[in-house]
Amino acid sequence: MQKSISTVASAGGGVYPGAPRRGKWFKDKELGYTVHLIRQNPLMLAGLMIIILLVVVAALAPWLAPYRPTSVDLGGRLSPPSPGHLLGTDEMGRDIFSRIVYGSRISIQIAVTVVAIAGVIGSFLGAVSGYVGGRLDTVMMRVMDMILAFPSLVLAMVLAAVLGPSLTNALLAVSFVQIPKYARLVRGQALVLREKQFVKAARVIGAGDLWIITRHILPGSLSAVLVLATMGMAEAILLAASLSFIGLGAQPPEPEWGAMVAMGRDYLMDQWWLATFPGIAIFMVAVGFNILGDGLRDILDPRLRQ
Amino acid sequence: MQIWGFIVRRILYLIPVLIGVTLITFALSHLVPGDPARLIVGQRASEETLERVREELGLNKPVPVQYISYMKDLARGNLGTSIRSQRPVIQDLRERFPASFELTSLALLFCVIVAVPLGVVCAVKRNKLVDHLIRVFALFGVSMPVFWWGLILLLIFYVILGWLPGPGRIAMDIAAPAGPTGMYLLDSLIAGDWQAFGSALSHIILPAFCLSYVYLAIMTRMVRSSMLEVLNQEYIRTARANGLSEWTIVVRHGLRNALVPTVTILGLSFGELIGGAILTEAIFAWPGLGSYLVESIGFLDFPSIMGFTILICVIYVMVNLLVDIAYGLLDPQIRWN
Repeated sequence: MQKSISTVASAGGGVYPGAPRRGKWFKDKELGYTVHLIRQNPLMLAGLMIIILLVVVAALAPWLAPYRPTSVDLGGRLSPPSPGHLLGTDEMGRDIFSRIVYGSRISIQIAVTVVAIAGVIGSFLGAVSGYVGGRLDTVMMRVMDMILAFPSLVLAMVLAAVLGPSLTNALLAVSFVQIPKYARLVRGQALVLREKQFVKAARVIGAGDLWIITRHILPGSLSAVLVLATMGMAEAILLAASLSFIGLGAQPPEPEWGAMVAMGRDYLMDQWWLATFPGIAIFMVAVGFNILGDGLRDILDPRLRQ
Repeated sequence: MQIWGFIVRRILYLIPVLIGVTLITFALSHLVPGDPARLIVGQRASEETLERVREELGLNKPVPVQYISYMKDLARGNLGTSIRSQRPVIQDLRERFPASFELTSLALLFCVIVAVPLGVVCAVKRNKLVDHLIRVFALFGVSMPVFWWGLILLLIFYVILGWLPGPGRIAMDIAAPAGPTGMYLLDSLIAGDWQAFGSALSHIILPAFCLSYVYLAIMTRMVRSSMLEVLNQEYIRTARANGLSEWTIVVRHGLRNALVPTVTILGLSFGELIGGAILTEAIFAWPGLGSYLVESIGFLDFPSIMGFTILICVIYVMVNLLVDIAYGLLDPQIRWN
């Protein structure tokens, strides 16, 4: 009984006969269909490849990087790209390729931390707000409106400035800024889901609010949250890199890409490679997450799954 | 008369949001690590001076009292005194505003001119090569780190090609046009100073182009998706059946209706434009509000930071109010809800 309820819950759709049951897309026949859909979407495959590459590079960083990311060689500072230093060296003689390779770890840390904090808190707040409704919902949504009244970069900058410049604080700031997005999205889903038969049925058989929220509302919103989270990773990386660029994020000598671009800015006139390559890395990863998110949206959209 | 009720309701709805904004900025400026008074007087000042400054700032009073006096000051347009420039923050902001306004308006204009046709072409040629190319172009735009994009533009057009001047608003050896608006392009036109106009124009091209890309990408996507939606409507099929020309169908019947949702989303993503402007101004040493914020942050000048934040939030919220009103005017269904 319990099992069948949660299957329908995560389906959300599946109301007409013969409709694919979206809740089981990761199992049996649906998996085959999903793989088929991914294959049909070359752009999304490219995004997936970029993200896989990012993870592989991060995991194998000590083996891939020819130098340590922080090892200084003042004799060989600002040397242009060459076979010895694929992407050249920076103002301290550090190998830029090695720094970018190690920087991938920071990028993953940014993406995962921000989405974990903002996604979990935001989704939970949204689910409670939408499911419980009433005055709580009104207050909660007004608070979210207040946060949304700040342009996200402005609020992130101000928060990071107040907390003090460090990567951790930048991540907290970016996470905070992202919370309302998840809250609003899941609230919208919760408003729909709470009127569904299976939720009413669960309530009738005596399920508690928390149980319904964790077993029905949150799983039912999962696919929408997944899409937002994937794109949110791109946004988190761009925001965090922007904060680092301004000096509010990762501090030297950490090989964070945004901070590397900031350092390279002073050498733009003659040593173009300092700023160019780390920026390409940020751009690539953001593109990866964005097309992956776009593709996921198409694949998880039940209207397109027929 | 429906519309007036709608507008009044929307304005009333702004009040709690704006109060919330001041609550957040107030809380933040009182969370400042360390002591705001200490930041003002510096590390070496005596305890007595510190105490006096605290008293002047009202920092020794209970927090609710401080908030009320903070609100009173805000209502009078008093945003405090900048630690860095030792002048009223509002005066600093007023001075910096025209440069930002000039830059963002030009970028916005450029966006509209480019994004609307691109989005329409995408929707009409759906899944054709043009559509894919434009979508990739838009995808790159939303994934672009603005600060890096600005540097790359400078690298290409200033350092390598030398076609356009580097950072700044106007060439060093040309006197800035003095005029009523503070916007160099307009002021130099008013004064008839063609040399200044040319210099100001060549200086604004790169930053405006840099700033416009991200927003342009968002806009193109919006126009495309709402055009696709509209083109699937029955009245479009009816128009086709009636034998109207493709141009009339797409532009008069399609685009007109597609622009309504587009405008709303644009209001909501206006924040992206503001964020982009901050980074662009920092890169191009553009003496506007954005570089003011970055400079203030470098100096831990919290009165200036909070003054900027409040001003930007008011602008942001106002833009969305105007968008909502425009939406209400364009679409009668909205007003009834």
